[in-house]
Amino acid sequence: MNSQRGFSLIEVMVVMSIMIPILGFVLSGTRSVNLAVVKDDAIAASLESLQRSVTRLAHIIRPGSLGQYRMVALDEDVTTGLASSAGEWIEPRNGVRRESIQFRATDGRLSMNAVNLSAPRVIRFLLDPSEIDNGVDDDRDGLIDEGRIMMQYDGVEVALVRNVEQCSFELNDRLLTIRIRSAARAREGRIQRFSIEEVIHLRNN
Amino acid sequence: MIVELMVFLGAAVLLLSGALLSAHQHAQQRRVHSERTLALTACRNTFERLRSLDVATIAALDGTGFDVPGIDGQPNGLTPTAGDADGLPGMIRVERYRTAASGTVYLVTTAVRWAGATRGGRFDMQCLIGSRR
Repeated sequence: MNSQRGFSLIEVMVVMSIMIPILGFVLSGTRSVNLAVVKDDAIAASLESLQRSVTRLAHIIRPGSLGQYRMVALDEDVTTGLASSAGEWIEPRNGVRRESIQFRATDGRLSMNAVNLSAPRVIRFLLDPSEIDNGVDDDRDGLIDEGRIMMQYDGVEVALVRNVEQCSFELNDRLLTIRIRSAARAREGRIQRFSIEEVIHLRNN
Repeated sequence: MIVELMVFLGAAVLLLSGALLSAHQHAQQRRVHSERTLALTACRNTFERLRSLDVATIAALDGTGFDVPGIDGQPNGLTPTAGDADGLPGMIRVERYRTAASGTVYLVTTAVRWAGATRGGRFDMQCLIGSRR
């Protein structure tokens, strides 16, 4: 006689009643972990992208000539007599942060100490069309007063970095500090902000 | 019957534990990567600051600490290891590498030691610094 037998309906019901809550718990846990991983990956990707952009920006500015470095004038500079109008390019002052700068650099075909310099290049922060500089998220995408960092050279203007909330250039003697703040959507819809600071020693006079 | 059920439950618990452990390790690895990036950026920025100094003053900076800004740009982005003398995770080490008539070349190391996502992190960057001709 065969000693093996199948499961009875009651046995299967008992096992199912135990396993279904466990499986539900596992699936729920896995789903939330997956969601968290995807969002964290999105943040990590945004941060990495921003870091690459800032490094690229630093490479562009590094061969810049200190003597040719200029910052954009604001209304306060007009008031203090440092500029005749806002938007004019003026001599930099130590410790003053500005969103736009102009410089001339070695053109890359000659050595870093070359006398020949490029035509003026401009790096400026440009607010997105859907945003107003008011400290509010006007387009409801989670970013406040975001825009792009643009570069003008040889009559061409290109966007170097996008989704930037703040950008500043600060010169202290030969050290130029670039600060950029961006953000990405994190878990549960909250916005994770991150800042990157890159310091460049401008070696060319 | 009880034995079969126990085996089945045991397997389910193992699977669940494996999935959670995997997710935890994934998150930890990402945190380690993020911390190393902070350390790298701080070391690179420290070198840029050193380059702007007079070479004659470089040797005096041996043993000086430096901070590592966090992801939000604020100070104290990384926690120094226990027993750190100056409470700063970064440290500058300067060694005389070569001396010639034209001047001295220093081997400068910027090192970061921190208590982070794992047992602890370490990052070193080295550069030769001499007077510019």
